[in-house]
Amino acid sequence: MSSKIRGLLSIIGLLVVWEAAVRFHFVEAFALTSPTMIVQDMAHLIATGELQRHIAASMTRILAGYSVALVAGVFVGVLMGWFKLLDDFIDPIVEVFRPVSPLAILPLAILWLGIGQASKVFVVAYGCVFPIMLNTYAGVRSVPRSTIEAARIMGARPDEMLRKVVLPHSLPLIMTGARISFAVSLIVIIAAEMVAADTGLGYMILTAQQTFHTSDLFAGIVTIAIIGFVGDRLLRLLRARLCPWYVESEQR
Amino acid sequence: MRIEARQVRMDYVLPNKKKLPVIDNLNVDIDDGQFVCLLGPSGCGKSTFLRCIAGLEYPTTGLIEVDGHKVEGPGPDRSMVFQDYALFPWCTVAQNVLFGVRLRANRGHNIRPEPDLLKELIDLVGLEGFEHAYPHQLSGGMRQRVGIARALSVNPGALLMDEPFAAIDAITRESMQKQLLSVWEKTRKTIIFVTHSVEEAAFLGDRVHVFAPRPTSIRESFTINLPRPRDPASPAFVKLAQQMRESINSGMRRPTP
Repeated sequence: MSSKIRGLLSIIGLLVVWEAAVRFHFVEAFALTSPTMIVQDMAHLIATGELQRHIAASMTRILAGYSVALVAGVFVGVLMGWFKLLDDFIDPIVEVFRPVSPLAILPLAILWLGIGQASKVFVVAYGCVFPIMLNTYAGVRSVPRSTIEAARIMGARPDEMLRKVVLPHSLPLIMTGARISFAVSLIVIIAAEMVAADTGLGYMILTAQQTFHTSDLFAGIVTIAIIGFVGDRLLRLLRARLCPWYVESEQR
Repeated sequence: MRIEARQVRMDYVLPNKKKLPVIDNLNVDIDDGQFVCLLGPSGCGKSTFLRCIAGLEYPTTGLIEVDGHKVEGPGPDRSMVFQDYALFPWCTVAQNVLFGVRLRANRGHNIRPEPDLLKELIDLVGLEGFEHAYPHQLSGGMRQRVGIARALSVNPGALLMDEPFAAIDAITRESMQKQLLSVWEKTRKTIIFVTHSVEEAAFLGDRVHVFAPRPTSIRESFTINLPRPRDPASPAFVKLAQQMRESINSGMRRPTP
């Protein structure tokens, strides 16, 4: 029995126990909906287009904020890693803001940017930028001295050093940062939508709770789990595609 | 490529601003096409001197000239082979070997067609069939073959080798040494080879410069006329190695107060 099969059995076992607990009234369906009811409810939400609408709203905000964070994080991370002077100036600012949760920033973002999309995109970008920036920084700083020297001797100019040595060397860590940030983006957007939105999965979950639609609530949670799982898998595949040398050495 | 060093002195500035003299009054002449070994105890400053020839570091005072020109910085005319290989892990063997050539090609330099050059270099160092492997898939010895091929790819005047076989197991090291000699006989590049192994220096070099402990300079130079391939078990070889070892040890003794 392979470990994959064991993992699958574990999930199936959980679902069976859960289903039985609801069916035989160990718990109230009001508090805990059964898996089959959640599936039925999700099918219904998909048929009406409701679920897609909320997913689209959340994902649009995530992708916008995430893209900004990716570009800004890699850019600043490379600058900090490569130029000691910039590191000295930027690092204290990063250290001050990094412990401040994106959710603590949200009210301020709403005050400045309004209740619309901009404030939510901003907090997603804010939450996502640090893991990407810090991983990029770590990647740039970890280029061995001899690797840089080998490229210099071959005649690499500073721009070529950056494009052909520093960035490829840092790519696996940048991708690690990208994976962490994707998980962060899901956390942040759900919370932000619970505070200030009229669409999105966070809004859907909160509304379901307030209107006692427990199965909608669970449908929202399951949807988030699926998005998180699929997104992480896609990012892992992307990393394997972009960094074949890295994944192979990891599997060794 | 001819290399001359005149009264080279080098001080490291320590974090407490104190000066640590590393090289003191070093003079050496290296002829074109010579296989020269720099032999000395670890940390004596022989690698630092090699890095000065490479242009990666600069003497505090004194002069290093390459073909009559002062060394101003690193360049492909003096390519280097590193102890830790310093390969690009994201590049395949072929991409590593052609790294410098492609940099030049991107600037419009007219160079030999890549497949020809690649095949020649791969054949020269014996890496046939591994062109598309990544460095982490290779053994230490094979990685250093890539390092040597990469260093030769830019057609340097001199090959600077900084303890290139120190991290390779003894059996592989012997075959690497033989192969390096055959590469040298085919290409006739000037080779400057840093090592702390007496046997390695005696096996490889036309000339061996024994470095004194820090602050270093050349304690004694040996010219080796033994025909190649040399037999490390022959009496002449054993005697030579013994002389070199004595030369190193005489430098290790500290004057008693």
